Amino acid sequence: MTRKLSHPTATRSGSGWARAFRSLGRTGLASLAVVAGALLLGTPAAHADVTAKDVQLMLKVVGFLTPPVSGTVAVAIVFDAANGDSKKEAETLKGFLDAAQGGPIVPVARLYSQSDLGSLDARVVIVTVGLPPAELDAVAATAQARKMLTMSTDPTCAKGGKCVLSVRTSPKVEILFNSAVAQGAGIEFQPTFRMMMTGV
Amino acid sequence: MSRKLSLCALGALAVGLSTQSAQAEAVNYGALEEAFGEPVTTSATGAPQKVSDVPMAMTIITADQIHHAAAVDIPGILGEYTDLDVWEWSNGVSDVGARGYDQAYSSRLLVLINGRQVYLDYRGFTDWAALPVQLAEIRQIEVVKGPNSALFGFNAAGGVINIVTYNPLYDKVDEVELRGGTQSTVAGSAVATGQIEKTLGVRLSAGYGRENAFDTSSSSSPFNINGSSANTYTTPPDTITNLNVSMDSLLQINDDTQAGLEYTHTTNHNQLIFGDDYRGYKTQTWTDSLKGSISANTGLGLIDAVVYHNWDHAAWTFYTYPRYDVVDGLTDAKVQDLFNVGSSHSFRVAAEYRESNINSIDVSGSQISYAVYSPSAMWNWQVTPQLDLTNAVRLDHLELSRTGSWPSATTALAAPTLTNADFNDRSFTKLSANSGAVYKLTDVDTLRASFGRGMQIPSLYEYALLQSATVAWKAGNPDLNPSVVTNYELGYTRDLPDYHTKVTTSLFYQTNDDLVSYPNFAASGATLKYVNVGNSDAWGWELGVDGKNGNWRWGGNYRLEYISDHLTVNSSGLAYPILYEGGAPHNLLTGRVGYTLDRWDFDLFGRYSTSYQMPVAREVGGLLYPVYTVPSYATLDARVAFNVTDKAWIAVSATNLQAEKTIYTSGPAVERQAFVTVGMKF
Repeated sequence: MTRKLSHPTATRSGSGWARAFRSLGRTGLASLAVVAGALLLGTPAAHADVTAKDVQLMLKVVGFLTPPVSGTVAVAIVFDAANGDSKKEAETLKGFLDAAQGGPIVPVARLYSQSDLGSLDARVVIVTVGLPPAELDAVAATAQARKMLTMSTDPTCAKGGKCVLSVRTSPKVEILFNSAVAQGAGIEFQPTFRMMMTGV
Repeated sequence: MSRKLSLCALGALAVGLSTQSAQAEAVNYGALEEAFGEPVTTSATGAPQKVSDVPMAMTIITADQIHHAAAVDIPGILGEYTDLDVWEWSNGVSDVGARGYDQAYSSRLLVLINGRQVYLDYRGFTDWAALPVQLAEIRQIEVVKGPNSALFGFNAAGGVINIVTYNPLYDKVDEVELRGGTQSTVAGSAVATGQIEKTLGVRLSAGYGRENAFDTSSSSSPFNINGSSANTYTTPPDTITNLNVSMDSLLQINDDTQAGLEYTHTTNHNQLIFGDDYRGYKTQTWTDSLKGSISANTGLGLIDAVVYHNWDHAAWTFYTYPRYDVVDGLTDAKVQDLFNVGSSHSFRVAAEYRESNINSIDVSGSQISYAVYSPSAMWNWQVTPQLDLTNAVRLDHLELSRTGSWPSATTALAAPTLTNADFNDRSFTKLSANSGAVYKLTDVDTLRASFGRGMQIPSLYEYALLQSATVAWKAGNPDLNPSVVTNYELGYTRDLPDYHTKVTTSLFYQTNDDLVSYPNFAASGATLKYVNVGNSDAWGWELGVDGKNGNWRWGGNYRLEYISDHLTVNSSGLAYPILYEGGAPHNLLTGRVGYTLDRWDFDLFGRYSTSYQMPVAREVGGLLYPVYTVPSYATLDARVAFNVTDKAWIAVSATNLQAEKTIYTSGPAVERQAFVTVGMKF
């Protein structure tokens, strides 16, 4: 035998759901209005140009490499000399990297065009958006052979198996990780960091 | 397990694992949070995750939010930033519940500090005033609503709160706070960190507080302090004192291995705590804990081994009865391995052993204990970059035991009919599970669906209490079944980057089977036993808003909930103090807003609750508990601070600004409080 003790506010008649929605009252309706308003406002941001935050994230990611990396780190920025956007992004990246000198990772950035790939020498390679497929393949192969960490702000770089990582910070941080490329290049990250990246 | 054995186990782990070669790291919350741009937690699945990726309802209260809180204790802070149920019984003493189901000695919420249980198994509650942690050393408070037993085991039935402190090796915290206020409050705390770069970090902290108990009877509160009516209880203490100290250290043995050691102590005198019978007990408690840990990255994955032991000594005084003392211990040893398979699969496998014991629980001076053996596993599968599935299971095998003699018959009472064999033959195996799916619809929209099945083990008191109540035995029951909580949930999160705001909403349905309760003390005749008393279910809707932009910070929560009890008792009145239906407000609303103007901080917190019911204990006058209706209330807390420098501040804060007295429980009215705090970082 069960006896239910009545709730002081549950004295009106009707089904439980009806009572619930009546009880929702002004407070609940106001809350629903907040939700509805929130859903109507704001739209996802489109992919934007590289930002200082993107570069800061790239440097933070380097800090999770294992064995640990610190101090001066050579960073190669690969661009397509025939593509104005690619060249512009490369120069922007170099500007941000040259300015980022206060942290535990001190980047030394250098631009590489297609004709320079033979002399590619760096711990980290940043691949700009818009590289022709053949050039992208060449960069990936060179970086893998020389055990370099490849990164891009273009998500297709990691998804397409050309980069170890694709990173972005807007609208929220996303780090795509291609374990096959990393394994091929002998790149390892600290395990807790590794578990938080999105595998592709 | 004895204290000596615990120390041996710590040493054995240290020797056994320190020779392993790999790259190891404790979770560096600060670095990971900085990289991913949001708080990081391990309290959902055991693996590190962004809070936006966890497959269950979780709130993280950050250090910055704690700093800006008007409340000066953890239950108060939870009340300001979450929709948890916070029942403030007396000065410094609260019970906290998730999604209703709060009760005196709230037993459904597992509370941990850095994964170490501070929830007290033996009696099934958390003594919030005895937590050995200073607010200044807390990195974040992680709040999980709903069962998470597949990770944390028994007692993570209704929810989990994991208080994560700063890492002594990675984070340097040096801070002093002094506080004075109403109720003759005098308090101080200090935190200091010493580090040998990248090798050793040690953080020491200490806190002391003294304040007067709430002593104002309310005309509408059923609690009658120093009165002579049937509702008279223990005379509250005049002065409450708390002292706690802690040490946390982390040693980088080599690039591959870390070892940690923690010690804590608390002394609390003269608190008024309300037991699971809703009576007010004057208590004194002393607690100590020692914890050792090793972390190593091996070819098999990231292996963590943790051993800790908690000692607790509590003394109760109630009404006119003589003081009685309880000494209990909890030993926990756990090894887990986290590893990845390919780019899409993460696994956690773990084995845990825990032993909880208590003596002086009954008239014969026996010892009662249980041992729990628990294998568990978690599998996280990133099906696509947008879809993430997590499944976790855990088996808990419990063996109960009792040693010692039994009391003889008295002129009023026959000898108890239980024997030690009734306990030593008692064992069971239970399965807990958590499953969740997280689907990122767009860059800013995330859907969650989750299922959880958690276990709440009866406390040692509920299993084995044996006391003479003059005309009856008050007795535990070794045949009690654990309560089972099953939770089904749908959630949705929308980021509004243009408005620097995140909106989260959840719809949940929860069933609770084999609830446990105990008949009113005033009954006479046969042995009074803890029993399973039936089931209860609940559904609810939650909405949370959290935002920060420039000098502004804001947020709030709303919860709508309906609970239905289906009990086998209380058919003709409240003979058992169990009242979940009606025991939680149907509507709970919180809101907060803060602004920083130059050197000034202004923060305001509001909370509104519709009415709810609670049992009222009384010493004489009948077998049934009267039911008291806590009226609807709205409260206001505020803090104003002047930052003298970047590292020094003076703050004036107040709680329950809206009235001199506010009633949250069937206990004493809660008084308005005001504090002046001076703080400095070094």
